[in-house]
Amino acid sequence: MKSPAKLTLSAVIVVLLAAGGWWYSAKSAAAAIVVAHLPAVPSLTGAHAELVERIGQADDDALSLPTARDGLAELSRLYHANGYLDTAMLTYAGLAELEPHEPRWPHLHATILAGFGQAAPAVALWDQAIELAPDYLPAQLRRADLLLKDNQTAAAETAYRQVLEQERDNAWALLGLARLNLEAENWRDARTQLERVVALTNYNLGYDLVVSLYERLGETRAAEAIRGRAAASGAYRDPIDPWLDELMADCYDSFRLALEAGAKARHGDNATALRWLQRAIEVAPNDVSAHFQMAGHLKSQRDLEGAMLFYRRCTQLDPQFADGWAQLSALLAQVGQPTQADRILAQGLENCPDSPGLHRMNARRLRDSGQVGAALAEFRTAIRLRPNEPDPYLELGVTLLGMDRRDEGMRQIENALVWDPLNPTGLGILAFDAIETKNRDQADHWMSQIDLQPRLESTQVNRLRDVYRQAFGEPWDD
Amino acid sequence: MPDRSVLLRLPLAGALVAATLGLAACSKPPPARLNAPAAKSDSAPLDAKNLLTARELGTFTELPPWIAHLKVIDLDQDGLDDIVFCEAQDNEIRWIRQTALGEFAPEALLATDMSGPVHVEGADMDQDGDIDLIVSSMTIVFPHNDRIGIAFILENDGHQNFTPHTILDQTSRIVDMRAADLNGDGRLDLAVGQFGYDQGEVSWLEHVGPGPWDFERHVLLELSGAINVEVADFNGDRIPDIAALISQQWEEVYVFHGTGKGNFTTQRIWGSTNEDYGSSGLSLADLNGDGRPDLIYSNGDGFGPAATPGPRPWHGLQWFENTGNGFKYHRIGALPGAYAPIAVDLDQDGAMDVVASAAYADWNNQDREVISLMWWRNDGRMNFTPHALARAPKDLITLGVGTFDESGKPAIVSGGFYIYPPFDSMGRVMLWHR
Repeated sequence: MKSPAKLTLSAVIVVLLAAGGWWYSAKSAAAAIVVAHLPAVPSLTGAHAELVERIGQADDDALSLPTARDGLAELSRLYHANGYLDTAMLTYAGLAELEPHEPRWPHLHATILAGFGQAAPAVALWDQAIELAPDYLPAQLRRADLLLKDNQTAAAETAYRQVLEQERDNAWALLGLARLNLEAENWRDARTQLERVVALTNYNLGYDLVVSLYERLGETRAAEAIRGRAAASGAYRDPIDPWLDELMADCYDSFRLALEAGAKARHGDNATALRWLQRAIEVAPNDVSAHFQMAGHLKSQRDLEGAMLFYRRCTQLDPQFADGWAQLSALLAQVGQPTQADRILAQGLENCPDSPGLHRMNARRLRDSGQVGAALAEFRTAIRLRPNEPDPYLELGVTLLGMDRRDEGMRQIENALVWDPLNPTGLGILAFDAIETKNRDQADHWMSQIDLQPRLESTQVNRLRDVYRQAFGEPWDD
Repeated sequence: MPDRSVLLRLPLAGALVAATLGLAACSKPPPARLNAPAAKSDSAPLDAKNLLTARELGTFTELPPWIAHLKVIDLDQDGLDDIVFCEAQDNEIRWIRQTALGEFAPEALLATDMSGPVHVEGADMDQDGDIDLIVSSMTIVFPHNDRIGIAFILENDGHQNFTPHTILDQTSRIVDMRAADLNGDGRLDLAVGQFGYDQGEVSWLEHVGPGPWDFERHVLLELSGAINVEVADFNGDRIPDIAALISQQWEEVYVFHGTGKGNFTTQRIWGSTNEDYGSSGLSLADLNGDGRPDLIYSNGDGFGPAATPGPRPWHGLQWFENTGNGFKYHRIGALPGAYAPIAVDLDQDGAMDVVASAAYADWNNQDREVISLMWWRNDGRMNFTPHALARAPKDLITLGVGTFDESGKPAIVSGGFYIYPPFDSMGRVMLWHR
């Protein structure tokens, strides 16, 4: 009876000792790696207090045997998320040595390097990441993009095609292939790929390149149709990278959070955008810009009450911030509170007497309430304060035209075109006036300008062509 | 037997454990913690605010200045550097003439109706012995994709009276033009950077004649976002090449190698996969003194999907070493909102330093001590140590270098461009000298 008990006890002790030894050995080895890669804490001047505290704690953890690995991992997140990129890279090197089977470390490390155009080391890291996580497409796309930028065209093409093997409609891979084809002057293939990209993304990707390609191929009508969609699209969207996005939970930089929220909103991921804006305001409760962005985001989501709350907060945080007053007043008017809107506008002008936008709003208010003389003065004030903006000239001109002060009105419309020569509204008014007054030279001039402006609606252009033909007895010959 | 066995095993196990522990403890002694700064180039700058004395040369008007670009040039060829600059808000090209070293005539208006001028260069385009001005105009400086770019040449009558000639219009917005004989016919052509917005190009204008202002456009690259072009013989074949910095989502640097008679081959020398890298300026200098032209490049454009512009952790400066058969990237250091990189031997030690300005880096952080003018001192071995020269005025987007006092030491000239509130801490055209 005693011997088996002793045996069991001995066995347990042996196992415990062995486990302890193994644990200690493993932890010691890990700690040695961590210590070898643990970077000096960078200057944290101006950093959020909680971030400083967390970095301090994580740094302590990294130097402690049981928590060394977790401390280093925490440091990597904190450094990367908060812009200490050189330091973050050192931590990733350590984590990769510690956990050679974890694909995140080489991917996140490569992302930083590639941002600085460091092709060779970044590609090597992405090779590792892709081997460990062959299904993680952001790594494959980034690697392919970097190969393209490094002029390794064959390798880039292979990499893009590998993405397409896993996801046949991946727009970024198609865009990459299109760029390769454009550079090789394979116009036909590039066109096929770009047309697929714009179809897949509703012109959020490839819009820029396909227009240039159409123009190169002489397909002006197709190019103009796309150009006519926006004055400035800025349509590009980066591929979504969940591993990178996860870092935002550890970000204490309100501006960085707002930026990434803006990028998410562009992608249509409004929930994430909202979450990151909330965090931006949480870490920087007095950040006017974050509040303003939050208000705009809520407004775009039709949460007008919420938007008003944040616009109002902007006016409290920084009464000299004219856009806060302007947006709050406009929103109050929109929800049917004109008295409140006027009051806020007046308060805004009191605080920001040199705001051209507020004076312009006031001019509209005065015009709409029949105080036209005062409105004209306010439009002129807005113009004096920002003379290179076309819209106040246009509004002043239209107001004057409405008062039967044609010559003065037309002069203001022409003034608008000094600053925006292809302004669709201005061109339309000037062309119509020239046709109506039978001034053929002027009509021809403005119609020729209209031909250069794809953003003028076709119905309006057709109407101008009709009245031109009626006025001069022959069609406008473009 | 069992007892024996246990007796045998325990010491064995103990020995094993001890050995393991011993191995763990002794086989790989923990190395020392890395105490070096994360990266030398990105270390905190030294304070050099007293190195330069600042002096406003420009004439303030009611509105915040929009000095989009300035050029230090001896416009009247009297042996003294002058300053020619673009006031983009007023559509004007203006001139601050140095009448004697450190003395300046009142600011003069050289040209009006310049449609949002954003870059001015000087060259004798009509080869009559005086300096004409080459003006790049965007018409609308804020994001816009209409084809409203205009290229002007202001013809000098020899007495600094200028007649404007439009040599290209109805085109993507133009941001930079540089004169050089690109096709070897003896006439000056122009390398052109066309930012556009969604569509843009790098092109060159061939001076074809028969009139002195007749040019024919050739497109080299169809990408939006060109910021700067530079012309130099990068590969030593005695044929001018063109370098171009492309921003927007592309974030790439190109060299178009001239092969003679106006033909070029395209080489992308660098590219970032960070679509928000913020390319903001490219300039030319033989930074390492090896006789080959290198490129200095800033990334600090802070405009993006946030409500306001602001800094990014990757903003800063780098240079591309021209090795003779290619270019090698070197990071110089961090500078949030970096713009306008220029080479200047500021401390006169024989090694070319780098100075850059910063803009739109603090709107959201008004308490932050943001640097607006930074000097990277070169130790002669291409190690650059950052020195903060100034924290005000803010939002400087253009710099020039010239001689403006008896000492002959190089001085810096800066231009301010104020489009975001608060409208304080402003400078128009400022001289910074030792």
